[in-house]
Amino acid sequence: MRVAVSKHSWFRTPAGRLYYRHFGTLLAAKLALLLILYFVFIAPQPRADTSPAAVFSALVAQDGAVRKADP
Amino acid sequence: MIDYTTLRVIWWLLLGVLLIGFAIMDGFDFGIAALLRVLGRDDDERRVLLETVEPVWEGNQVWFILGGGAVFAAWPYVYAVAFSGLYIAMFLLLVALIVRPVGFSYRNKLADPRWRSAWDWALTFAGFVPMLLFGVAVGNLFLGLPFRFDADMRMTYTGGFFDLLHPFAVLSGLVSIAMLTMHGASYAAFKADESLAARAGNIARFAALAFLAFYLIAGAWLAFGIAGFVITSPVTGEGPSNPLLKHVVVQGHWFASLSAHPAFWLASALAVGAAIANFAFMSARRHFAAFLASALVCAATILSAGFALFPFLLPSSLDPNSSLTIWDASSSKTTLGLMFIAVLIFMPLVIGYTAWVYSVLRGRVTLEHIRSSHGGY
Amino acid sequence: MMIDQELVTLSRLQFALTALYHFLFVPLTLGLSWLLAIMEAVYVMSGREIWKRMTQFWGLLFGINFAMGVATGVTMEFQFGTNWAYYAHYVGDVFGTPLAIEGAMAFFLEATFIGLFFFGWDRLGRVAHLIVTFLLALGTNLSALWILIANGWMQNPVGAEFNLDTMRMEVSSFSAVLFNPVAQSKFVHTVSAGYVLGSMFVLSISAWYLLRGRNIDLAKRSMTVAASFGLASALSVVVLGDESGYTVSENQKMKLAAIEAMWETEPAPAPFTAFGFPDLAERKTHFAVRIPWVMGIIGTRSLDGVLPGINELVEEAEQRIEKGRVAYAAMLKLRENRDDAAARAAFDANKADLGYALLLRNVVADPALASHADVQKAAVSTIPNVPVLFWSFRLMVGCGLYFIALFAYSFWLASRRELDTKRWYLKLALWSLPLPWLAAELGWIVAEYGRQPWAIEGVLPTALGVSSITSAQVLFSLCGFVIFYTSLAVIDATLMLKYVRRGPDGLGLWRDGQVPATGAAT
Repeated sequence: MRVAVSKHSWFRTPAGRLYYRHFGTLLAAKLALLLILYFVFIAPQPRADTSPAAVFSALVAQDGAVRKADP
Repeated sequence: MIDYTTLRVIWWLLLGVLLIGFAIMDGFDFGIAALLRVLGRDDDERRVLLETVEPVWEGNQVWFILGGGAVFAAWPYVYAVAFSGLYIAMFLLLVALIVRPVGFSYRNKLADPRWRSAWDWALTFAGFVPMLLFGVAVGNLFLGLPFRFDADMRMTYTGGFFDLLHPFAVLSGLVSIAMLTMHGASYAAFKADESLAARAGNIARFAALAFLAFYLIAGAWLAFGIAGFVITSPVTGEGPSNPLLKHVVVQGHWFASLSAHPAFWLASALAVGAAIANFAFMSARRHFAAFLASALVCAATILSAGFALFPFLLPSSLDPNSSLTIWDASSSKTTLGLMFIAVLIFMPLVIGYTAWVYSVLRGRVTLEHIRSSHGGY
Repeated sequence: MMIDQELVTLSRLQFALTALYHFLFVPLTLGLSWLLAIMEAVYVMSGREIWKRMTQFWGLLFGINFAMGVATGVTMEFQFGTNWAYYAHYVGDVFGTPLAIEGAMAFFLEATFIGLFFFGWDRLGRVAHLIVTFLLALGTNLSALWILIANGWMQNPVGAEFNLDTMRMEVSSFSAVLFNPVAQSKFVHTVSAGYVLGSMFVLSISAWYLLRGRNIDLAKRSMTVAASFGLASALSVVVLGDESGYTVSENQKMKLAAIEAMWETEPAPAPFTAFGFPDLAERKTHFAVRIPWVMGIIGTRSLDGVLPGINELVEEAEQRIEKGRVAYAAMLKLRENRDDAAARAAFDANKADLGYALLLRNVVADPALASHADVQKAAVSTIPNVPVLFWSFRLMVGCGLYFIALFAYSFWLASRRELDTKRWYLKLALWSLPLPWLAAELGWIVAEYGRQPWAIEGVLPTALGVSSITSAQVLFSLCGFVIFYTSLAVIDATLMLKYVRRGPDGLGLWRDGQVPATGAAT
C-alpha cells in the first residue's frame, strides 16, 4: 500500500481549517456541558464539614461511642 | 507451603524483576519515541525508527501493565498510596501512556505532513515524560512521601505535585532519562538502518557518560546527604500487613542496609561497569553488545535502588510509622502464594513466545524496505 | 468523619465515563479478532487470495480500534489506585489477583502477537500466521475472562473474609472466586455481546459497499461470515443474559427488584412489567403493562419462587444495618483490646452485615450515634435508580431480540446467496450499526448502576471507597479526560471513516494485478 508524503497539508486547506473549527467547537461544547453538570448537580451537594471544631467533636464522639458500646 | 516471610521476600524480588523487565523491554521504545525527531531527520528515517519498535512495543508495555497489576495484587498498600498520593503525576504519566499506542498506530495512517509532524511531537512527549516521572518517583522514595494512615487504614496524603520536584528527585529523573536514552539509542544502533547507527551510537555514548555522572553524584548524595529510615521495633515477617504496628525513626543514611548486606554493593558496581562497557562497545561499533550492556545498566540500577531501600518500599516523611515495608504492606499469605504460582506458570511461557517473536523479526529495518513496500504502518 | 459527597460524585462520574468510553472499543476487539481468525482460516484452508485480502482489510480497521482499546484500558488500571485508593486497600487482596493474572496470561498474549499479525505476513508461513491471529483472539478473550471474574466478585463477593488486623477483605477460597456463577455467566454474556458487535461492524460496512456497488466479492463473503457468527452470538447473548438475570435474582435481589421496578413482593409467579413509568418518590409504577407469570418463571425458574420487592428489601436492609452496628461497635472495641471475648463473639456473630453498618457512614459521621431515622435513611439508600435501570434493561433486551431477528434474516439471505438483492435490507443493516454499542453500554449501566450504593455488594459502599484527594484534583482530571478522550475519539473516527471510504479497492491491497492501486496520497 503506497502512501506517499506530499508537501501540501490538507489541514492547511479551507476544508482542513473547518475541521479544526468543528473539533474545537465539539471540545468546547463538551467541557461546557461538564461544567454545567458540575455546577447544577454536583457542587450543591452537602460538603463534609472539616473545620477544626467539627473534626474535634467527631473524634470525641467516636471516643464516646466506644465507651457507650459497653454491654 | 512456603512461609509468609519468604513469600514476602519472593514478592519483593519479583517486583524488582517486573520493574527490571519493564525498564529493559519498554525502556528502549520510550527512548526511540523520545529520540524520534532527533535521530530521524526525514520521514523515511523516522519510519525506519518507528518500525524497529512498532511490532514489539505493545508486548513491551505489558511489563508495565503487569507491574501495575502485580503491585495491586501483592502490595495493595503501595498501589493505593502511590497512585492516589501522586495523583497529578499519575495523570501526566497516564496521558503519556495513552498517547503512545495512538501515536505508534496512527502516525503513518495518513500521508499528510502536518498529521505526521504533530504525531512526532506527541511521541517525543510520550517517550520523554515517563522517563522523567519514573526517575523522579524513585528519587522521592528515598526522601519519603508525606502520607499517614488512620485507624481504619484510610490514607491521607499532604503533598502536592511540585513538592515532588526536590533537587534529589530531579537528579534521579536525570539518571533515568540518561539511562533510557542510552538504552533506546543503543537499540536503534543495532536495529535501525546502518546509516543511522553512527548517529545513534554518538547519542548512546553521550548518554552513557551523562548516566555515569548523574548516577555517581546521586549515589554520593544518598550516602552522605539523605536521611535513612530505620525500623526500631522488632521485625517479623509473619505478622499481619498493618503498617501501624511498627515503630520507625529517621536516622543515619540509606546505605546502612547496604553495609549489612555487602553483596548489595555488586548492583551499583555492575551499573557503573555496564555503562562503561556500553561506551566501549559503542566506540568499537559492536552495537548489539552495547545494547546488552545498556540492558544490564537498567537491571543493575533498579536493583541498586531496591537494595538501598530494603526493607522499605514507600517510606513516609510525614509519619514514619506509617511507612510501607515489605513486612507489612503485602497481601495475605494466600494471595501471595496464588500469585506466585501464577507467575511461575506464565512468565516462562511469556518469555518463551516473546523470544520467538523477536527472532521472527530479527534483522535491521532498512531504508530500502521502508521505501519499497508498506505504507500505513 | 462525614464523607465528602461532592468528591464521591465526581469520582463516580469519572469512573463511569472512562469505563463506558473504554467499552466503546473493547467489544469490537473481542468480536472482530475472532472474525479475522475465521476469515484467515478459510484462506489457509482454501488458498483463495480474496480471503487474505479480507483478513488484511478488516485487520487494518481492527488495528485502528485496538490502539484506542489499549490506550483507554491503561486508565482503568490506574483509576482503582488514583481515585479509589481505600477500595484498593479494602478489597485489593481479592480483587488485585484476577487483574494481575489478566496481565500475565492475556495481555502478554494479545500484545505480543498483534505485532506479528501486522508485520509478520512476509516472514511467516500461512499456518504460522494463522496461529498468530488465533492467539491474538484468544488473548483478547482471556482478558475479558479475568476482568469479569473481578467484576463478578464485586457483584457477589464469595470466598473472602474480613480481617480485623489488617482492616480489609482477604481471600479465603480462590476457587470460589474463580467459579463464581455470576462471573461465569457474565463472561459468556459479555464476550457474546462483543461478538455481536464485531459481526454488526462487518455486516454494516459490507452492506454499505454493496449499496455502492464496490468490493462486491469481498463484501458478500464478509457478510456471510458476519451473519453466521452474528446469529450464533446473538442467541448466546440472550441465553446468557437470562442466566445472568437468574444469578442476579439469587445474589443481588435489590438490583433485580429495581430493574423490574417491583416495589411490592408479588405472589408467585410474579408478573413482568413490560412497560410503565416507575416513580422513585412514590414507589409505584404508572401506566404499568404487566404480563402475568413471566418474571416469576424467568427469575426463579419455578412457579412458586417468590421474588422480594423493593419495600420488603428495604425493611430487610434496616435489620441488617442494626446487626451491622453491633459488629461495627465490637470491631472498635476489639481494636482497643484484642482479648475482649464478648466483643469477639459479637463481632463474629454479626460480621456478615458489617458492610451494612458502613452505609450509615453516608448518613452520620459515627454509626454508633445513629438514630432510628438515620438507620431508615441508610436502608432507603440501598435502592438504586429504578427508572434508569428499568428503561436501560428494556432497551438493551429490545436491541438483543432485534439482533437475533436481523442476523437470522441475514443468515437466510446469505445461504440463498441473495445478500445483494434487497436494497431495503442493506440499508437496514447499515443503519443498525450503532445499536450494539448502545446495547453494550446500557448493559454496563444496568450492571454497575444497579449495584449502587455498593462498590462491593453488601461489603463496601461506593462512597467509602474513594481516595482521600480533593474535589479540585478530580475535576482537573475529569476535564482532562473529556478534552483528551474527545480528541482521540474524533481522530479514531476520522481514520476509520477514511479507511472505510477508501475501501480495499482504494487501498491497493490487490497486488496480483486485478485492481490497480490508485496510489493517491490523501
